[in-house]
Amino acid sequence: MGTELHQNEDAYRACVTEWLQKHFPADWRPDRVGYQTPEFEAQRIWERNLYEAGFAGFSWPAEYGGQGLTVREQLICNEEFGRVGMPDSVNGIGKDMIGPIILALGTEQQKRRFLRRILSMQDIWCQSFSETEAGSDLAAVKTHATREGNEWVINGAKTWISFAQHADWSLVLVRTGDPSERRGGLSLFTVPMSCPGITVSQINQIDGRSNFCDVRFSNVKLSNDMVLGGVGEGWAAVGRVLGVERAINRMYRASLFENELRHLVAACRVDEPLRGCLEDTLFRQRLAACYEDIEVLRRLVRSTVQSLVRGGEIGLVGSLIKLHWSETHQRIVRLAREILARAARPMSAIAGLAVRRFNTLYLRSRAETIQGGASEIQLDVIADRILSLPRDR
Amino acid sequence: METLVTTDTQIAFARTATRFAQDCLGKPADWIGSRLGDAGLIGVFAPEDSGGLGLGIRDALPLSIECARNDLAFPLVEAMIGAGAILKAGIGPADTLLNGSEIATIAWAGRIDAVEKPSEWRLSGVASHVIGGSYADWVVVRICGNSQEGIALVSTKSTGLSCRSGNELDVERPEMDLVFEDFPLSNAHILWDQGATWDWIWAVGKVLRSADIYGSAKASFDDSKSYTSTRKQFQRPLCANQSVRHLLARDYYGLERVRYCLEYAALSTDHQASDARVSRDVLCGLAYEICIRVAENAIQLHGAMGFTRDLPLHRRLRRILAASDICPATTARESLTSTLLDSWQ
Repeated sequence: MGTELHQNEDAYRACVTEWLQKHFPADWRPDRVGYQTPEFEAQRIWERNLYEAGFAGFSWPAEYGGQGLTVREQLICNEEFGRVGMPDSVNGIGKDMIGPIILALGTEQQKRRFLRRILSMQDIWCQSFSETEAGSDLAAVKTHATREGNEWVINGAKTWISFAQHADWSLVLVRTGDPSERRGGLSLFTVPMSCPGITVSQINQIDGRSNFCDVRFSNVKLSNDMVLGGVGEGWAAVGRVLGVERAINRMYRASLFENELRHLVAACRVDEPLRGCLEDTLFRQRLAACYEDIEVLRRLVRSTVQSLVRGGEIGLVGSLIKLHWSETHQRIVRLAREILARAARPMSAIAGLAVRRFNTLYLRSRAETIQGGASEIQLDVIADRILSLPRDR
Repeated sequence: METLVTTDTQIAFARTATRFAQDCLGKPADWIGSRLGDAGLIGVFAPEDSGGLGLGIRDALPLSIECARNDLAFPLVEAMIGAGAILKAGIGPADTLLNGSEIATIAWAGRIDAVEKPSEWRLSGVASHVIGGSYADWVVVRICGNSQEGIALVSTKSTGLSCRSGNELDVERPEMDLVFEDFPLSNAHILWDQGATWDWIWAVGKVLRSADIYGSAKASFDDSKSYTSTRKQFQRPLCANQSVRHLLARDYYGLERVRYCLEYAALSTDHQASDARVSRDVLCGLAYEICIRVAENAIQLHGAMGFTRDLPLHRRLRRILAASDICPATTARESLTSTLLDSWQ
């Protein structure tokens, strides 16, 4: 795709839209009858095709396989992905979070080794940070790495690790210093999941899926070049990962949430009892409030992207964005369920599709205010670091 | 994609607004009006060839916010929009409005019927929500007649015009209702334009009234933050309690949501973007709900002191409530839903 297209955002957007119309599988559109949940391997191939078409690694340098564009093109593309209801990437952690960290902190050798393979979907990545006693309080991590000669040996257990069952590599947060150092004694390692000593077991989730996992490290041996960003520098790097995770990963959310709201309205229009909901004052008010939330999300993400394009940093707005999108999504799917409960029986194909979609999303969305820093943590970040509210006497 | 970069003009405006608002603390409306005129601030929207600044809504945002943050007892939003509309329409005195020696305000609700007579029009009806009507010299009202829509400029000193007290919630800027009973008005003070100027007044008003209530809510929030950080109970600051910290964090988050929407609604209205109307409804729906809540929370967090007239918290809540009565969140949301359902066919 020629770079001349990117000088004009509308033209670039039109180009993305046209490509999606031609290539995005019709039966993957969650708002269309005939929808089929994409299988993992089919998604891996689809995402490789996306990359080959120029729709991944937007702001990564061309020498590492990226497009050499900006996060602005990434945003435009993501907005169009959301508009068609594209499924979450099976390598989003690699592309949206770990890749940018490797770009920022990795050695030249690490960049050449990892980045292109992330984009081409040859390597799926997971992020092994959380432990049973170190979820929101990440500085309490106990999994440790000790030096033995020229090697590091990792022992410990991680939990709630998304996509670990598919992952080829993991970015692992471990303690390399004294536990009393808390944040100062943490380091990040790039770990091949095929290493002897790693066991992965899937966890059954309330939404029926099992794509987050327990990962146990038992005498896992790694060479020194697997450290990312320097020994003892893990906390700062984690801050970067979480900042990205909270602010601009999955930038398609506003468009995707609008797709969900439109799906709800479309389902209401073809079902007699549901049509009445579109006339109901209370539901109309809540529909508008949900759309307001979507618009706020769009504004927050777009202005963050603008700031990044101008050389700014994500900063603490990530906490606002995380708090906002996760609670917004819960409000949308809660409203959808309440409305769809009134659907005529037996349900039409369209209403049935919507009911299945929103039942699933409802359950899935319960995780969204917990993962990536619970809402309570985001409120603490706002109180402590934005408002600087004192805690002491 | 929108640009949310603040321009040099806007930075300069914000500084001027802050200084100006602080200078005006506790001053009467006529004093504030003449100072606004001296600073050239009333003519923000008036065309440059009429002696105005010819700027946009984005430029006026900081002025509206800062004046509300400082509890200015002046209908600034109405004066700026009124002067802009009157000068564009050419139906009123340019010099005295721009230099602040006369104040124009707006009747936000009510539509007056106009009947044509030889050499004049006769107006009947009630125009309400006239903010600062008791000290304004002129009022812009919406009129209709002969299948036409337009605006009229009415002098509050006219004989035959009945002024009644309206919504009295706003302490500094009490509202009035104007009752027209076969009230004569010359052609020179009327513009028939199929409602175009009124639509502009209403659109700009939605954004700037939201800026005004955002400023009031922000001031109450700042007071809450300061008070809970210094007031000690059980040997520690009030804000050391997680319930208080999280309440303040949520209020801040709410105000930030309003601020982002405010910026975009101003920008999209200035550029007449296709989503400008939606952006204004989104803004009003959010702003009125959130700002009322923040102002209520401020009273709650100040405890019994919050319930006294010694603090300005009640005046800000009143100011916000009075503004929300003109365009409640529920009205904005009904309009938004109608637009969405129409466009999602």
